[in-house]
Amino acid sequence: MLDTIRTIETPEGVSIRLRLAGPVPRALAWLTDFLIFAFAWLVTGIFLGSSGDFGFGIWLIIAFLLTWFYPVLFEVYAQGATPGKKMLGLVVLQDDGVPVGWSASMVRNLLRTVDFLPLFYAFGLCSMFLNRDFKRLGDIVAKTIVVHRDKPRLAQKLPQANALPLPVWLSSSEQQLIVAFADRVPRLTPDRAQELAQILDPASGHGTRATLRGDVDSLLGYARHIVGER
Amino acid sequence: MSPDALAVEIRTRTHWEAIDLGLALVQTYWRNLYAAWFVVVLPVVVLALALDYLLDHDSGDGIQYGILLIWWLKPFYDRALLHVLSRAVFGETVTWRGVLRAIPSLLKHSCLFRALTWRRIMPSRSFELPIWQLEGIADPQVRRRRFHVLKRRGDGAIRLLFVCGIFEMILLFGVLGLLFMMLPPEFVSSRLESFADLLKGYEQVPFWFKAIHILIYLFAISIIEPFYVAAGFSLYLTRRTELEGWDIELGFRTLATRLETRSS
Repeated sequence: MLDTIRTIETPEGVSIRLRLAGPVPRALAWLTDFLIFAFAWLVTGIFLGSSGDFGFGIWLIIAFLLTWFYPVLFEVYAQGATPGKKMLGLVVLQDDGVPVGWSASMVRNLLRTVDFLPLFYAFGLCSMFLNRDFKRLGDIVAKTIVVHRDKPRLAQKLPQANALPLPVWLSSSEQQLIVAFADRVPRLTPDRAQELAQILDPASGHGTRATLRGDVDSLLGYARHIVGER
Repeated sequence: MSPDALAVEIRTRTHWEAIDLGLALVQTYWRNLYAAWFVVVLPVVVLALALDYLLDHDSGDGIQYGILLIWWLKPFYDRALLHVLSRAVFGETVTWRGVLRAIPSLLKHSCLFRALTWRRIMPSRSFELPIWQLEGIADPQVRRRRFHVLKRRGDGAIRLLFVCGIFEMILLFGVLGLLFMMLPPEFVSSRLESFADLLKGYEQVPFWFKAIHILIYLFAISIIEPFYVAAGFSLYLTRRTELEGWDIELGFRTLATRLETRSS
């Protein structure tokens, strides 16, 4: 199935699903970072501008440090995200899903000079369009990926219903599905909600054994039971 | 449109993820998409070149007519791209001949006239396009209501347009920049007072420079426009998944089947 998820198997045999981030959110994250960077540079310039050549020298050193270490420090010490990435809900990881380290972060940020060519990341953009994992050249060399941290939000409160114990055993993903349904009910049309619930209706085929009741209210009840209400 | 036949994983997504899925779609179906793309865009490019050539001898008024023409007809190419893409995700391949055959019906049934006139500047056109073209609602009143049901505040379509616009410019100036980096400086300085002229206005620029400009613009939109359409389509699919519970439907079907086999 076509998707932007990469599944990664850890040595412990656990598989994690990483949701890759593409050029549009990443460009906006870069733009945000750039504005912060420009602001910081400007402010230090105003402060140091009055102190002559010495101040100018310091300013250039600060510019150098900001250019090369602003992204690296944030990526290493702030959970893999510069402020811009944090705003867009993005995180930098190594290819195997572990947090990005010093060397990888240095490499991917040094190679910004290549990605930037010939103007404003045109090479990086082309690379992202051609790479299945949406990597720019720096990501390819440093073996890093950028992924989404934010998930689609669930509503805070499930719709009102009396909690109903589950009549059958359900796996955790199946339980999540019932909760997701309950969460979605307010946004579905009543007809559509009923139609969905009926898929689970026992009338559609089996005998006397206990099973789920396929109507909206019962499913809402199960959902409240699953989230811990009794 | 029934969700279980889709080649795309049905799940809830943030609109960023939906936009990223658009790129995955282009990467998967690029063959079909580009066949359709060049079939519709190349004749227009030839027309644009001819237009600029004919206007070359006039004194000109600084407007880039060729580029304007190519830009203006974008909704037309978008329809061909979406036609191909909306079938590709159901496993049906449309060849370039198929695109040519589909053009008459696309002209008639996808509100192209409106899209080329007052709705040309709508920022959410990538998201509107599937509603107009794929749902085939004839009554404008119903269609408008449908659009309001589907759209929501802060959907990604406007941001998508904004960023795609920037990407196009980056590619356009990127290729120009690359050209100047690669050309010997003497060549550039002898031929290209034109470039300086370009900054002043489009009047004194020779035809060959306009032609290069058009070809580079073609390159930029060839990269971006298929992605733009695919991302809009993906935003539309994601929104419908959410509003109609497609992901729930598929999950419940699997669950019902499991419960059934257990009890038999």
